[in-house]
Amino acid sequence: MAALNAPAAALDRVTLRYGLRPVLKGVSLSFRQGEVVGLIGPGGGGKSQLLKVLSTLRTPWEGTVTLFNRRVDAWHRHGIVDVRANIGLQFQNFALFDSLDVWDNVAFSLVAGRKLARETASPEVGRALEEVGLAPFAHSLPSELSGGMRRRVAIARVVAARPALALFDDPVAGLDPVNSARIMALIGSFARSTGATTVVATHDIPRLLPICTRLVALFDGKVLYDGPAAEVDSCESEIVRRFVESAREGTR
Amino acid sequence: MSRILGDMATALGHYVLGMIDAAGAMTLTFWRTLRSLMPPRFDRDETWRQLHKVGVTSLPIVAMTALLVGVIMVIQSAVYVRKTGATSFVGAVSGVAVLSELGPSLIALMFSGRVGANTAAELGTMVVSEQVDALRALAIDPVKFIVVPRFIAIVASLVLLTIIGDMFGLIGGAMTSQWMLEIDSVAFTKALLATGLLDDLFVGLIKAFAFGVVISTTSTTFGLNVSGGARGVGQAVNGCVVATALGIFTCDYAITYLWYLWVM
Repeated sequence: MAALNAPAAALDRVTLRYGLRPVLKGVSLSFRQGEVVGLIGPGGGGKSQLLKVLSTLRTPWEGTVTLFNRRVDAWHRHGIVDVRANIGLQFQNFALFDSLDVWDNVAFSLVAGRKLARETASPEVGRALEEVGLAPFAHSLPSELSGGMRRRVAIARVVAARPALALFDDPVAGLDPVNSARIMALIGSFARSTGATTVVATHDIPRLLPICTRLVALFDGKVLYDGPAAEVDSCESEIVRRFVESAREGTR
Repeated sequence: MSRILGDMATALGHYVLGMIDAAGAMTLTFWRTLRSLMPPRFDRDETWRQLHKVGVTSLPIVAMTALLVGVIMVIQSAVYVRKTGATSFVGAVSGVAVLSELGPSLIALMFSGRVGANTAAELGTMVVSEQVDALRALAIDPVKFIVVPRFIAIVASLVLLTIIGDMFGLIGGAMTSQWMLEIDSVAFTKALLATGLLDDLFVGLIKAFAFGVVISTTSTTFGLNVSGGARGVGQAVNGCVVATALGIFTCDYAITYLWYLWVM
């Protein structure tokens, strides 16, 4: 029973440093299976680093990280490839493979990672490209696309893989309002249809709130708010209330 | 004065630590590459792509280099040959020099400047643009996907290119002997075959293999350990070229000396 109710991901007093500079300071969070969590905060607050810790790309100096009931922090890296196979991360800077076209980039985790045949992966890839509006550009190289289009390819790469833990780092930065709404709606429907535990880090709070049930506010590496998205306006932290209010005003 | 000495000691310490760090990183890269080869676990499609990219496209420049090496060897020896009349030794000298020493080392240096630097830059760019992190996030081992295909392609290509380059070097030597010293190709070839041709070819190919290991290990290590953006990529390429050249000469010395001990 404990295993059934176990969180998909849990961080306990995690501290991460870049050189001597701490970017995460004693962060403790847990993410239930199927939950959609919004991650907000000012630039440089540690959101991207938190997502990288959750994706096992960064190892914290202190604290423990548990993913799918398995510890994956500094001294527990055995079997980490199996853990990573269940995680999808959309990078803030896209991290698309320059030498592969859009189709191959989106299919990469299925073909190169899970060893599926291209024909088997084709329906999932095609669907993901349709959903982000890039099907006509399937054979374009990343260098031939705009920044916004590359971001949508990175999102499609996660969506096509259908991971158990999906992490989106700034999915709508640089997108026009129409595509921003489309992408946020896609993330919401993806989370509902797959039951994936989904964490979305973004500054677009008005579009984030409708799709997430819980909000985490990260300021200077510390969690200042962790609770229902609907109650963020009345939270105890004045910094968080002012930040959310400013973000709403900025997008009006 | 003491401050100057202190600064010098600090700089020397940084340099030595840097070299130890690089040596350690290269050892780890080489070890992980070997582990992925036994049993073979690497991306075959990427390997074929790399074989074409580093091998086939390097053929013209390697052939040109080797041809010129053969020509230069004969021109260099022409003065002494004319003075002493030792025309019967020209083929032998060309054969020993091209097959066992100049061919493998100069081809490897040309190859490292073209392929090694390109590999370090490519992998370094992949690191700073988070493509290597993306591979890890997709549960793909960067060593199996990036390093091993390049290791196989570089080593195999350099050995094959050295064989082809040796042929061009000997052809260049024979043509120049005919032109400058009026030694016909039959006499040149007889002199060449009278030496331990196979021994020279064998040690040359051992060197080519070793140089390939040095070039691939050094370039992939420097590339994958880039930090600091575009500037870091430039520094990695620079470091790779220098380290590879040093590695090639060190290997050359070691193999030549060991071969000497073996033969004697």
